[in-house]
Amino acid sequence: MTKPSLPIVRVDKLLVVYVLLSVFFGLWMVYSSTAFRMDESGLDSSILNLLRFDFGKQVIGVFLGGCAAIYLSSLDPESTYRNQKYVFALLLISVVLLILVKILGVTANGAKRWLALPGFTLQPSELFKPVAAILTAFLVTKENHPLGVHQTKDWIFVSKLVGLFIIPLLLINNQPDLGTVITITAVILGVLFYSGLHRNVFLTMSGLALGAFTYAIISSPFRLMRVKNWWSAIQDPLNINDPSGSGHQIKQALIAVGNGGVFGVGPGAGRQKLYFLPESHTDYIFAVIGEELGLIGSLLVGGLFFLIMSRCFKTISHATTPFLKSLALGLTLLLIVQALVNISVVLSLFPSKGIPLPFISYGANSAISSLICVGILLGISKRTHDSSLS
Amino acid sequence: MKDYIHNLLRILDGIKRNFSGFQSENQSHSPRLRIIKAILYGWILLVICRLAQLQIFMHSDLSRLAKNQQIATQPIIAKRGKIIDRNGFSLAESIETSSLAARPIFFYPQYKKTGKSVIWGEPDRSAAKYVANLLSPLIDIEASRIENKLLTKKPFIYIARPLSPEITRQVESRDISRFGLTLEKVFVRSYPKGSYAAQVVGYTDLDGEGKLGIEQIYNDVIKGQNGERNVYVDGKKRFMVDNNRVTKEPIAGFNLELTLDSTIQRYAEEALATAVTKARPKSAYAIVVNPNTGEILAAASYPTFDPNLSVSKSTKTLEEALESRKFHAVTDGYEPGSTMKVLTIAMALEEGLVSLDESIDCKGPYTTPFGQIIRDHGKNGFLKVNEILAKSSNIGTAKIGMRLPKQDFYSYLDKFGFGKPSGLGVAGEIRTPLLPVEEWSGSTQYTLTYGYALLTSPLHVLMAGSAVANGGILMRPMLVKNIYAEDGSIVKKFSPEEKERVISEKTSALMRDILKDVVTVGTAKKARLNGVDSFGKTGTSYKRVNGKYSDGRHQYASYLGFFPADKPQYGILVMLDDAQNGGDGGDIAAPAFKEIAENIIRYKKTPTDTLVDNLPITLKLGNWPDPSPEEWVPDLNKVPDLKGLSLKIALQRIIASGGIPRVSLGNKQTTIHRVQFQDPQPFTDLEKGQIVKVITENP
Repeated sequence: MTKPSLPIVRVDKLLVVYVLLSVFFGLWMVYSSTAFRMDESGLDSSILNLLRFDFGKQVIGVFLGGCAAIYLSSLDPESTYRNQKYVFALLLISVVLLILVKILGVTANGAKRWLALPGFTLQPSELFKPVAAILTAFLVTKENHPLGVHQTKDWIFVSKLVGLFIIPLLLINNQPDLGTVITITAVILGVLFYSGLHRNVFLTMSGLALGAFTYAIISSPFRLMRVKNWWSAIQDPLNINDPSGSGHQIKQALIAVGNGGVFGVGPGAGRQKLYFLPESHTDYIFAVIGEELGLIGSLLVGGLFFLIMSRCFKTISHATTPFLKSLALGLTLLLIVQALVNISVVLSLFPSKGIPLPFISYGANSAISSLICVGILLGISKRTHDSSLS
Repeated sequence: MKDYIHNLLRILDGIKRNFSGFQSENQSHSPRLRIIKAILYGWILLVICRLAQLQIFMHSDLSRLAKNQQIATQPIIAKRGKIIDRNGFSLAESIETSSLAARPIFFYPQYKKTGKSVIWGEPDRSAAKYVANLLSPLIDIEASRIENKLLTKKPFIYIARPLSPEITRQVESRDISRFGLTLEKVFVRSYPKGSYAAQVVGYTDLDGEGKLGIEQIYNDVIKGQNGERNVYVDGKKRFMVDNNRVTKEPIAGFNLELTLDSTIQRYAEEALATAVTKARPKSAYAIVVNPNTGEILAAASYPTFDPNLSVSKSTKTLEEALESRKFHAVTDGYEPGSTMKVLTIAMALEEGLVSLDESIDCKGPYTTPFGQIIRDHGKNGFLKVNEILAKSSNIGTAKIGMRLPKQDFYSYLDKFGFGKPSGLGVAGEIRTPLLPVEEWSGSTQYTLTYGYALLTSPLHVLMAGSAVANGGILMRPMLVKNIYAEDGSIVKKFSPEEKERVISEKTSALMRDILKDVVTVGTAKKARLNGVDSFGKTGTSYKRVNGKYSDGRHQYASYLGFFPADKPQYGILVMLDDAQNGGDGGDIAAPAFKEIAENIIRYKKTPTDTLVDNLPITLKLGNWPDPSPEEWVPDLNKVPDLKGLSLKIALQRIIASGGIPRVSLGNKQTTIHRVQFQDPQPFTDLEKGQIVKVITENP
């Protein structure tokens, strides 16, 4: 606020195009993996029924997310987010919502993650994702000396940061949603690393986080089982541990992807979504893509994310202040790490986690959260001193 | 992985020496940002490799797994072949309809299968109730019963099978597949003749497997071959309607034409029913064969069953129901008793060990050298062979039968087919081997001569009797005439099969002649037919009860008869087992023979019948000149002039003119008769089916 804002350069149109492509591709795949359920419920596929169904909810989510993105892209990020009151207000709201989930939340699939509001189901952990990126960027640039110079000061800084994050992360972990906790932690560590945190402090923090997650896994039998199943799938995708029980989902995902081959079985023609593959329209939508559109379609989706990533890195490079750089990186990592974790889980490169594929998976909260990230990124891209970006 | 971490640490080391974060001058080339990028690129590379591994190198394996679970093989049931009688009437046919099946897993949302353990979880009762209420009015089963079936913890259950074609259409019109329900095409076996010949035709169980009689013996021939269809299923094991692919076409079963004649079968059933009502036996049967070919024309059985009803649906107790589902005429053993005397006398005549003129002392009781006492019914003096048969003398038969050496007697029994399978191929056929000669006691041959010490089936006795009647050849019994393919072409034609010659033509002719006396003057007067000569032999044998012969209270009463006597076309065996109202073969079995035979005579004389050559006119022509058939043209509606004709010719003319003959014989002892008197008079009007009486004189 002390600095004058840079003149507004045009928004990063390419990023807009790539995100729009991803979003529409996502709507198509959500339609493909849910439309058959309408037939089963005896509904015809008129527009009205379509909108009442899963697909319609997704359209509304995308619309709301789009509106949010347009609005956020118009704000000056430096003055808006680098504002202590504002940032702590966001944190406070997030924590309150997460506590409300703990008390009043709706349970589905054994997890309590949602708040039932009239006409809408809110998932506060999703909305906390961009908040975490903002808070991290704010904290790493709040100190009036650079990180990495004095190890002791870094330790003090990190303790403060952990103190602020520990409560929301524990609340999310408690839902349980270890996947989201790991994703947010990875993003925070990435930003801390980028912002020059002392090597020893960074490695210690990473080690602590790793230890905490390992403990969380081995202390829970079902998580341990997932790791066991994942390890068997790494060794031999045809011979998965407990294929008809806890290994069922990863087995069905691998069958779907493998069945697609190079060219896929054709749009809409996939059969794994017909109750073979659980969560085919949400966390496992990439398996439906793999089956229906094959290697080509999978690479296309991967390519879109790669292009989004490259645009985001351009934004980071050309951002004018350390705060904007850190913020941009945090948001970028949020999108890209989620995408990579999601795809890796579908391909059994990682043990199962409840992480959606940004822009594509069914889920209005995820769509809104991801589009908020894009909106802020667009806002940053507007205020660079490099007109070549647009 | 280790190398990767190692590299990472090396880079981090470099950063320590030459630190530069985002504060660096050259912001776009911050080394830490490059590390982050490198990690992301590496990760992307890993994903691409994995995609290639799964979608290129493991595509065929994973695709196979996908097909395995996405495609289920369903059988396409082949249509079972028809069974028809010799005139083309249907005895058994399959009608296409459907069974309603369900997959209860659909109603268990928490169903999980982990290895071998299955967790069903709580059922979705409201869904099951909804579906049950939807189906209940359609298939007419209580909703609560349907609901219970839907919630059965089995992968697959039938809710109703089979449904009528009409209900099938109604159920089809509801979109039932979305509830995990399927209609499976099935065939229902229908038996248009009901209980008639039920034991011969047999029945099929719910799975379409033949369980008795022809349905069982020729199961593989009638059944056809099921086809196969590949059907896509979803993860809830529901069939998808799209993309069904027939991988193997079903082949319909062959059709069978039996030797049975439904009309004669009906006569046999009706006559047996009459006899059963009067005598109240435990069981009874009547078999009609063509003695010349071995073709079985009818086989009626009591108790019987309706093959259209399953065992569980019949009103009888299970034991009774199962007892009625047996082909008793070949599965039950009995001691034939006096009918056996026919064979004993035939053997002795064939061997020249007795002549028709010889008189044999039949005074009783006769004590054999081995101390066995043989008695006759009534008092007999010296009897000739024909009289021994007519009076059914045990003593006379035994004395003649003992003239054969043991070994010869044994080999005749063997040649007559005893102790061996009948050749009909019926499952569970009685098969008690003949007692080898070495094991015969002194009295064995005595008792064998008049039909004891030998356990055999009624069909065996009938076929042996047929050999005596047909000129001396034992025929293999026949039930199937032709096997047809679905298009009507003949797959296999069965011809009568001669097993072996047992006695000579001459002996056979002698036997036919002397056995007529059984009917005319002997024990089987009640078997005497109107207008057609027949011959036969009664049989009454004591049943063994608890290892002892029960004197007269429990007995087999049978009659073995053939007609027309000169050239027998029909052989009939009637058997009543343990008649509660008593009576011997001549009393209770012979009338049934008469009823069946006279019906056949009427049936086969109808002008439309193509078998007019087989008119059972067996009376011999006289030694006076009869007008030749060509000179006489039948005038329908006018009574022919019959006076002075041989009875045989006269009967032909009455029938040819459309009347029914009724004969009073002047002398019943001979077979040669001449018409002396007729009523109505010649050339008066004759209505079709009107009775024409003739009285004969002896020439």
